[in-house]
Amino acid sequence: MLVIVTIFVAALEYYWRGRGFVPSYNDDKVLWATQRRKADNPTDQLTAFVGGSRIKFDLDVATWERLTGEKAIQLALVGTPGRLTLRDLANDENFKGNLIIDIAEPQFFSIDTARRDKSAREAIEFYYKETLAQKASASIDYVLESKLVFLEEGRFGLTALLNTLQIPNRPGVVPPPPCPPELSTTDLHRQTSLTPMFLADPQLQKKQIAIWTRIPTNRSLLMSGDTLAAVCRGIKASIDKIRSRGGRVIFVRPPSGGDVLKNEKKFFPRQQYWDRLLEYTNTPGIYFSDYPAIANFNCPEWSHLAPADGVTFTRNLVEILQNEKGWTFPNSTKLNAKH
Amino acid sequence: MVFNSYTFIAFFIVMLILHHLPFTWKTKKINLLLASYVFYAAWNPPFILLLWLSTVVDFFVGRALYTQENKYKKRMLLVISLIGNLGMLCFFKYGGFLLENFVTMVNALGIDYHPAKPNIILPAGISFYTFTTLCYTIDMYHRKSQPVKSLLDFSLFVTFFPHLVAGPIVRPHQLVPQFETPRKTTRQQLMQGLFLLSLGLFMKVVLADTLLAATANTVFGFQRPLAGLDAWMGVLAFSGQIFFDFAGYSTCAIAVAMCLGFVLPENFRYPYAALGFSDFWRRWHITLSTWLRDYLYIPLGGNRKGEARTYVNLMITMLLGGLWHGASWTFVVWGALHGTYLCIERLIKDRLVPKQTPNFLLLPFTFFLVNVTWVFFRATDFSTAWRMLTSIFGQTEKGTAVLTTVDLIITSTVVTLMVLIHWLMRNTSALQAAQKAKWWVVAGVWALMIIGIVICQKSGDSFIYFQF
Repeated sequence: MLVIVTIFVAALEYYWRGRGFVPSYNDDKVLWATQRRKADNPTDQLTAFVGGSRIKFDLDVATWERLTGEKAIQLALVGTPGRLTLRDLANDENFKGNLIIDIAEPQFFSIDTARRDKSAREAIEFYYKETLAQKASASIDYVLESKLVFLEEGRFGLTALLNTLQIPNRPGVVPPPPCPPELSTTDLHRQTSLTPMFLADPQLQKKQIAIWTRIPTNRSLLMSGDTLAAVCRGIKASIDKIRSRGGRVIFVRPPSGGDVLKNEKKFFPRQQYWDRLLEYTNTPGIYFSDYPAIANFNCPEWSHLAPADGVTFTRNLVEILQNEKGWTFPNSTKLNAKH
Repeated sequence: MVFNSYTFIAFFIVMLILHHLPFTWKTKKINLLLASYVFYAAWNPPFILLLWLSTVVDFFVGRALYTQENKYKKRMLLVISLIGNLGMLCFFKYGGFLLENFVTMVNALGIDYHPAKPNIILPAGISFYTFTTLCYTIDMYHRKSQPVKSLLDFSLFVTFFPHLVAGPIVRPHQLVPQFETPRKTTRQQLMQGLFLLSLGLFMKVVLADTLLAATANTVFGFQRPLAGLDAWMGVLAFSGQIFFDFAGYSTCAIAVAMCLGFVLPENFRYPYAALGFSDFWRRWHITLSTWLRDYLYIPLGGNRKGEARTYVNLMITMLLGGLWHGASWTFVVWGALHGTYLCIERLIKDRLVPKQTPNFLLLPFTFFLVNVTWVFFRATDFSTAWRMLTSIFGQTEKGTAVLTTVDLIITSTVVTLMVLIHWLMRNTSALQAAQKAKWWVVAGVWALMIIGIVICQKSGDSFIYFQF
């Protein structure tokens, strides 16, 4: 029995590595909770990032930490608007850091909260209920995941593999399309990046573009009027709490491209959504196209930046924050001198 | 600490090594007890104090109950034990529920009373270890067995980590004698234990968590009317999930104890092969149903006080059995429905067809009603339960289809195989079947189970019965 299992496991690992995959971490509630714990730290010299996938791909955590000399905590969750995480941090008296809120209109301005907030709700609940045993298990898990490719459940687990089966669904059943496993990897700090395999393969990029552009926009699930105002009031209340503890908050709208950007502009006109959000919440924002330094990136699959561009985007974002938004990073000069 | 976690694997390896080193029996028992406290404290360390309190109080009260000759003092001691154990259970498990119902009641009477919501955390396993200690003191009251001689053995009886958090609910005579005399694990016991541990983890990790949980969660979490097919698949998925989750836990518990040389009672005997409801309760959560029979139904009078009282006793037992599962009226309805089924079955047997032997056609009928009743067990509120029931019985127009074809195929395949295996195995056990099979078949099945666990990678998800 042990022989069969050992041969199978070795063959499985060999197979995935043979296809070019390298070890990556499962981007789940456990990894999120590990980062969230770092935000529960009464220091003002840290910045947390909340929102959806764009800030996870586009913001390079290592670059941010190197340039600012402050801790960066990636708390964005793929496919979520980030509002629950914002509220959670606002209600946590120990969190005294700064906050960058990623805005991707289809997620942020959707009223389909049951679906959009699911993973955020589960992650926050897990964080508050996580036991000592679960923390210990996570530590062992990270060691194993850093060595073995097949252990990444999100891409190579049985559920992920079953979801790739191309079996037609009944009319009206439209599950989220599975992304190719070559799309991205995630590190221990929850930095997600497009893989070299993906960047080198135009066919994969086309496939992913088709996935993004096939996701329908349901007009009945878009916020408007009173709903938008009510949601903004809730966001403002959270932001005010963070500000009252000395934290700075800013909205960031990272780049997108092609038909993805075209659809976002069509369904979420800037004046009706972005401008109102800033106005209602009395909070500054950085919209990528307003700043030449971050306006002209090419998103390989129209939604996220390549890792090299992520580094540039982060560097330029820090500069914009310092030069145009009045953010200061007391440790930055000291650290820059070291580097 | 849950069985399906890396922490437990490390903990268990250490325990196996320690338990097989040439220590004295007393040292091994102390190791087991300390390990059990570590196992429990890994959830929420402060709650270990409750466990100690329960252990110490019941050890001394149990001894006093056994030796006390004065009838009134004896009753008083029993009342102290019942208040202590049930009071703790009521506070932690039912405190919020009782307050909520009290508030609803006084508000209905026109009194404006709105207290703050209590923030009570339910200590893991409290329903299980409370029943374990309760049966000891009740047995002492009736002098059914001798009091446990040492506090170490009694502490281990209450705290022994394989059964501590979610059963099987053990009785003193089942476990205490095993601590009193030195035991050595045989090679066969160890192998059988490891085989059962793999089976239990396979049931939990692969079948319950990976293949069925998402479907059940999608359907029960959907806030609008569902298409009939989707509602049924959700119910069937939950039916499989709850079985594989809980039977998986029990199998792991029995397996872990077996690897250490101890025998825990059987908790599941292929319940979906039941022919009727009394048969179902002889196969589902056996240690709870026998506990309720021996410590509630029989003391209430059982079937000795006439026909009407028998039905009343059955209903009381099942209502409280339902409430044991959770502080919610949906659980009470679940228990009431099972009580009603048992009463009707008894009525039919007593009055209408007393000599008819069970017919295999009862299987689909029992399975159907058990599934319908699971709706109340799984639904978080009555509106969800009603929405599900109207959907499964086709009483909704334009219900929404939410499940993918892959979900439908997986659920129908797993549930069909589950019922088939339950039917084929209804008079045997996994170990008996493994002993009869050829070695290479056992090795192949065992390897497949471990491979399944490895590729599913869902470590650390909690067991459903922990919330009870």
